[in-house]
Amino acid sequence: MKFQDVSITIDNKELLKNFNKTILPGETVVVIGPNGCGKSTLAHGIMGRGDIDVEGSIKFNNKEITDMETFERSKEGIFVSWQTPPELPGVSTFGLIKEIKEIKSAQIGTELKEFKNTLTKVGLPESWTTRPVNVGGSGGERKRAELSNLLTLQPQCAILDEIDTGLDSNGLKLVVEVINDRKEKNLSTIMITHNINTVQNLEYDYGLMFEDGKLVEVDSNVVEKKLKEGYD
Amino acid sequence: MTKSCEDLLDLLIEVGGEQWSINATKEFLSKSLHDSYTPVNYKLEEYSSAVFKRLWTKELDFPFNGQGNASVYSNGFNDEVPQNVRFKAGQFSGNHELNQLGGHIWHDTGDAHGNVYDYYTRSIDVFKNSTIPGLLATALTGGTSVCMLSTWENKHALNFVNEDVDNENNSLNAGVYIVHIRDKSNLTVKESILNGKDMYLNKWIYIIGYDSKLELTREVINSNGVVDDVSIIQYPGSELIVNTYDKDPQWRHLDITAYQNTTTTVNGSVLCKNSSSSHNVIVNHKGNNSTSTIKYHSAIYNNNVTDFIGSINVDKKAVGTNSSMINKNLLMDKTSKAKSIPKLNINTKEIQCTHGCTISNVDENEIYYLETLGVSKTNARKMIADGHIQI
Repeated sequence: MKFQDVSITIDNKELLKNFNKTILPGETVVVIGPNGCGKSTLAHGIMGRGDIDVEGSIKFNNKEITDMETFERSKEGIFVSWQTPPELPGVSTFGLIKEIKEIKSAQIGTELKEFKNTLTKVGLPESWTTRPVNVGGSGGERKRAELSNLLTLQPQCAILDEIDTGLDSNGLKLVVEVINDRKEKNLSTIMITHNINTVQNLEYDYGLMFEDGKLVEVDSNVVEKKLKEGYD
Repeated sequence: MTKSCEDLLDLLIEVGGEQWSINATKEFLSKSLHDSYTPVNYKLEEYSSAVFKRLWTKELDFPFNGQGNASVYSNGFNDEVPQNVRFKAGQFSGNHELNQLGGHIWHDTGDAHGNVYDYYTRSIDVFKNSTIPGLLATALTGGTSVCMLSTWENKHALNFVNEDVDNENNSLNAGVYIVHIRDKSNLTVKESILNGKDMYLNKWIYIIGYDSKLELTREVINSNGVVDDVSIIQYPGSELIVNTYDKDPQWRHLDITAYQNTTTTVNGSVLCKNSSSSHNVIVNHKGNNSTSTIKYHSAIYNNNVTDFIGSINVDKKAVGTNSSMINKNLLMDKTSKAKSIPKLNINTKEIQCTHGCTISNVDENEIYYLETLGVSKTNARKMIADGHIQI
C-alpha cells in the first residue's frame, strides 16, 4: 500500500498531513499515538468512510483506491477491524459470511464447517453462526468476532484498530499468533494499539507514531518506551 | 343512509375500470367508507365483535358445534390428508381431488351443500350491513368456502395456495373462507398468494376449538395486492401463532377474539419497497388468564408509507391478561414514512399490558460496517432491512 502526500481531515480538523510511505507485502507495522490523534480516522480514511476527507493518493496493488467505493476497497483485499462493531439485529452471522464470500448453495456445507472451525479457533461457540451479528456480544466477544472476520477474509492488508482491547490474556495471545502468522503468509498488517504486551510479543517491522499531525517512523525501542510511559 | 355492498361494488368497478389497483381501491374505499358510511353505521371495534358475538352465542346456528349436521363436514377426515389446496381464479381447483378424499373442503355455490349455504346466507345478513372491505368480499363472492380441520396426526400442515400464473387478466378476486379447527387439534396452516395478477379481496374466518393449537403463516409473494380481513376466534385453552409476511401492496385487517387461558402470538414482517401497506390488528381479550404478544416490524423505502394500528382490548372479565404490543419501523430513506398507533383499552384490574412503537432511520454506521466487509451499499441496505423485519 503506497501513500503519497496523504492528508486526512475530519470535521474541518486536519489530523494527518503529507504522509508518504509504502507498506510492503508481509510487513507488520504498529501505529501508536494518544487518544484522538487520528489513528482510527486513518484506518477508516483508507477504507473510504463518507465523513473523512482524504487528499493525495493511496495505491493498493498499483491501483488508486481513493476513488473506489468502500466495498470495492474491501474486495481489493483491504480489511479494517472495528473498535466497536455495531449490532445487526436479524442478520445472522453465517448469513453475513455467505454474502461476503458469495457462497453458492452447493458450497454451504463445506463453508459452514470451515466457519465453525474459525469460530472455535477464535474462542467463540459454534452457535455463533446463527446468532445475529454482534447482538448481545460482550466487548471481548465482538473483538473475537472481528478476528474471525479477519481469518475468514484473509485480506492482503489488514488494519486492526485496537483489536487487542477488551480481550483476556488468551485473546491477546491469539491476536499475536494471528498477526505473526499473517507475516509468514506474506500478508501485511497495520496494528493500531495501546498495549505494550501485544507489541512485545509481535514480530513487527517498525512503528508509525502520530506526532503533531505527522506519522513518524520509529523503531521498536521508541514504540515500547512510548507505550510504557504514555503520552503525557 | 346505508348503501348496500352491491352499490359499493358498482362504485368499485367504476374506480377499478379494467385494471384493479390496490392503491386506487384503498384510496377509494378509505374515502367512501369512512366519509360516506362512518356517520351511519361504521364502528371499527363493533363490526367484528358483532359477528363474533353471534357466532359465540350461536345466534347464527353455527353448524360446527358437534350437533346437527356437523358430521357432514367431517367425512373423510380420518384418512388421507391433502397437503396442498390450490385456488385458481377464486375456485378450488383441487376440489375434485379433495372430493375423492372425502370432500371435506367445500366451495359452496349456494345450492348443493345445505348447511353451508344456510350458514352463509345467515352470516351475509350480518356482513351486508357492514362496510368493512373484508365483509364486502362476502357480498362480492358467489359463495363461501368452508373448511373444517381436525387432528389427523399429531401435527398436520395444510397449504392454501392462490396462484393465477396462467391468468393474463387483472381482475378482482374476492373470496370468503371459513376454517374451523376442531377441539384438541394441532395444526399448521399456510395461506399463500403467489404471482397474483389479480387484486385479492378476502375474508377469512378461523375458529380455533378448545385446547387446540394453530400455527398460521400468511404470505403474499410477487402479487398485485391484497385487501383482506381476518377474524379469528380462540376458544378457551387454545394457542395461536400468526406469522404474516408482506412484500406487496397490502391492506390487512386482523381481528382476534381470545377467551380464557389462551395464548396468542402475532408477528408481522412488512416490507414496503414498491408499495405502501396498512395493518390493523385488534386483539380482544374476553376471558381470564390469557396472554398475547404482538410484534410488527416494517422496513419502508421510496415514498411509501406504512400504517399500523394495533389495539389490545381487555374485557371486564379478562382478569390476569398479560399482553404486549410493539411496532418497529425502519425508514430506509428520507422519502419513506411510517405511521403507528398502538392502543390499549383496558376495562379491568390485575392485568399486565405494555405497548410501544419506534420509527427510526437506517443507521449509516451499520451500512458502512457491512461495506467494510465487502458488501455493496445496495446489498447492505437490503440485509439490514431484511434483518429488521425478520420474524
